[in-house]
Amino acid sequence: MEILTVENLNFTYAGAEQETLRNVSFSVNQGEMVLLCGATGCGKTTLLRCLKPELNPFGKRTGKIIFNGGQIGYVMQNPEQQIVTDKVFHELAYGLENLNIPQKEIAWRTAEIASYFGIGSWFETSTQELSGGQKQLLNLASVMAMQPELLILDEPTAQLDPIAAAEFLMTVRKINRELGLTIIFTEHRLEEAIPHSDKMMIMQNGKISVFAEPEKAISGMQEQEELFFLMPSAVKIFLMTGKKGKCPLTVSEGRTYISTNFENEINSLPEREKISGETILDVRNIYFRYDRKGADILNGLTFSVKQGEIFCILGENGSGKSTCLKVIANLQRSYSGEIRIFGKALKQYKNNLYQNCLAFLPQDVQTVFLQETVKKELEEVGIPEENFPKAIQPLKNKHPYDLSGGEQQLVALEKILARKPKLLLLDEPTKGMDAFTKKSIIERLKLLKETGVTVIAVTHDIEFSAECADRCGMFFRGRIMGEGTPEQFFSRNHFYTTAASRMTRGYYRNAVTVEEVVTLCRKNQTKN
Amino acid sequence: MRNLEEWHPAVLFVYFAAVMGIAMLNMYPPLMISCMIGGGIYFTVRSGKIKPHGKYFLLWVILAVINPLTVHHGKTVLFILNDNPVTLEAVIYGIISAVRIIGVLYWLKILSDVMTSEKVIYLFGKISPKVALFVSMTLRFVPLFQRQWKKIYDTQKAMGYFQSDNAIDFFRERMRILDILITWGLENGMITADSMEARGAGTGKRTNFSLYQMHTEDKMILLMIIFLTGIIFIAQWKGMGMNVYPEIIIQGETFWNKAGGIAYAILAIFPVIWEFEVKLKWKYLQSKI
Repeated sequence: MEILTVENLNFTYAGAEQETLRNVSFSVNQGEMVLLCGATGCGKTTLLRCLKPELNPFGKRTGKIIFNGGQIGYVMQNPEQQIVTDKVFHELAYGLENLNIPQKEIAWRTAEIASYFGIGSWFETSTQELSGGQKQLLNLASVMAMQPELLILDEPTAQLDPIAAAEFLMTVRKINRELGLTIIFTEHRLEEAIPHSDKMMIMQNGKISVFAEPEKAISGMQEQEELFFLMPSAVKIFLMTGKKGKCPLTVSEGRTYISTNFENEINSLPEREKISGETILDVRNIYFRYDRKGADILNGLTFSVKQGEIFCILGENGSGKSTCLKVIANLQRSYSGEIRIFGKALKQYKNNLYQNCLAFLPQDVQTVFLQETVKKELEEVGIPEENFPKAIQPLKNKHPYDLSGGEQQLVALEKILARKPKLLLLDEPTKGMDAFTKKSIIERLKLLKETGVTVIAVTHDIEFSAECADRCGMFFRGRIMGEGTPEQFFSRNHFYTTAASRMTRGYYRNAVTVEEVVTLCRKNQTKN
Repeated sequence: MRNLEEWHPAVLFVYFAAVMGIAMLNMYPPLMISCMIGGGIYFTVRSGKIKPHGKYFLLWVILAVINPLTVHHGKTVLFILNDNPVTLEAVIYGIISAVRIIGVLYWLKILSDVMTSEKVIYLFGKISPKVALFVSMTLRFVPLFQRQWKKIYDTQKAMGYFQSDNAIDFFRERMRILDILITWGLENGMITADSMEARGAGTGKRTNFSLYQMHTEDKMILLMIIFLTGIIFIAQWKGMGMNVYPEIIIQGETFWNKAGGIAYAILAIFPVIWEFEVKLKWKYLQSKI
């Protein structure tokens, strides 16, 4: 049974010349989970907002939207800003309060919803004490408390780390399966989203190009398309090796695909070259805690970085990764240990630490911007307009806050590079970034490396570090437990590794990125 | 069986209003002493700290000394200091009013500890659900702004754009943060507004949800507070109180004076008794298990 039907929907924003949505027609059945995907700026959010009457954008609209149901729930990207009140229980009750539902009924429903989502233990805490993942779960739960019949999620995991994101998607799938709730969601982490969805809707320039089951939708794709970058590793390998048979979507399907289609006579690639510059950062036995009575956040941290290297620090949330960067950037002071930057102790630097020496880009890149437009922002720090990188040119007249997370990261990186730092510290540089923008960040970092800049990046993004790092370190409970080149690092890890590596484990020896797997597949003979 | 902070917010509000309100209205010395002792003991029992008392004692001495040095009313002159008379009345008034101020300070300290934001919101919600929502949102936004300020400052510093080695730069940098913080606030506000609208804000009358329930215990406590307060008011009407200037007049030991004093003493010491009773009951319950 159809719950939502859209017929010939056209939409033009007030004041805009071009149509944002063009002739959109589709219908969604009761209980389906539909994944809407497309490159940044293709009109995904506009379409979703058109579906929710309270959030309709301003502009000219033609066509019909027929919805056979009651409430529509809507969850947005930013976990923080969607929260209205100061206490978790109050947030859950907020929507119900607005509907003027009696006290007793609210008490019942919030209790039920809190139990279902496992919120019981933090029911009475302050909303600001929650982690990003918890906040987004709370947003979902408070929307669910209103018992919607259609749930719309607009990039709900963009601001979350991969583990929290995976958990969130699992919860969404659970709601879909257990309650038969119809869900339409957008995602840029297609690796996890595609296996969870019943149907896939691909949008290009305001039009829906494909709307079908994931396998069918992907089989029609070409290797060169812009959407290619968004696809899961298994799909990329499938498309790059000439599409043999059924399209694999998950890691296990990818494994079967490779082992049934390709030989493994040549099973390893030559090692990447090791960087052999002089050591420019030496961190030795650093201990740090926020509180005198608190626990050690950095616990004997020791590592060193060579000139011209890209060093990626990976590890779980709350293991102290970000703190480690803050201590190196002298924003927090360690109570024991020594840090030497370019052979000089950190303590001996004063304000000149940040002059042509070290620069730190925090996780929340919004804090980098102080101006009204991207152009002003970059011109102020001495980059003339004609020198803006190609990716930034089309954004130059926008307000920095209006950019997507990935675009903000690009601009922020450019702003910080204007200081000509020799050592660059990045905290989660790929957070909230779609695969396409990620590509340009990786290229930018590789370019920097050639000019001799050293980069230390703290990240959750395994695929990112596999692709651009020279060395990776595993951060755990306040120190680096192990390190090595991406090949050593990821082929040694069993769980904490790239999808490509998991797909080829035991079959190929040191392939960790999609490109490496494809190279190996091509070198080997095809099976019949 | 529940601790003081678990009482129903309305009961708590009435209790604190009664204890502090009466202390502010009437200067009958036994009342003042009860107020200070009750507050002081309960403060110690709650926080387990003795140190702050030293600070309060010092404050008490200062307050008590200031009054006779600045106020020269009263007819019994004790001695002349710098051509100004120091009177017995001013000395006594100083001592008693200092006791009153310290007592009320103790109670305020306890109040701010016990009356959390939710309770305040709940009480406001009884008057207007809209005001309650406003308070709740404000309580969320203030720390959010503070944190963002610090974050922006740290970022700019670590990028090397903020030097602040002179006063003008220092001021200019902070103005810029404030400037962008306003934009940030508006931007955030828009998302929050969308989120509110998406959940049916402003569609009509709203309920105010809270986790509080009025238990029988709460009702009993409330009745007791009203009863004791009633006695004190009657006593006051019958003349309980103290007149200092120009001459100290305290009504003799009448029935109502005694009743009022005892009623207030019970009221002020009640949380301490309650605390011990709760502890005892727990011990008893556990020993039974």
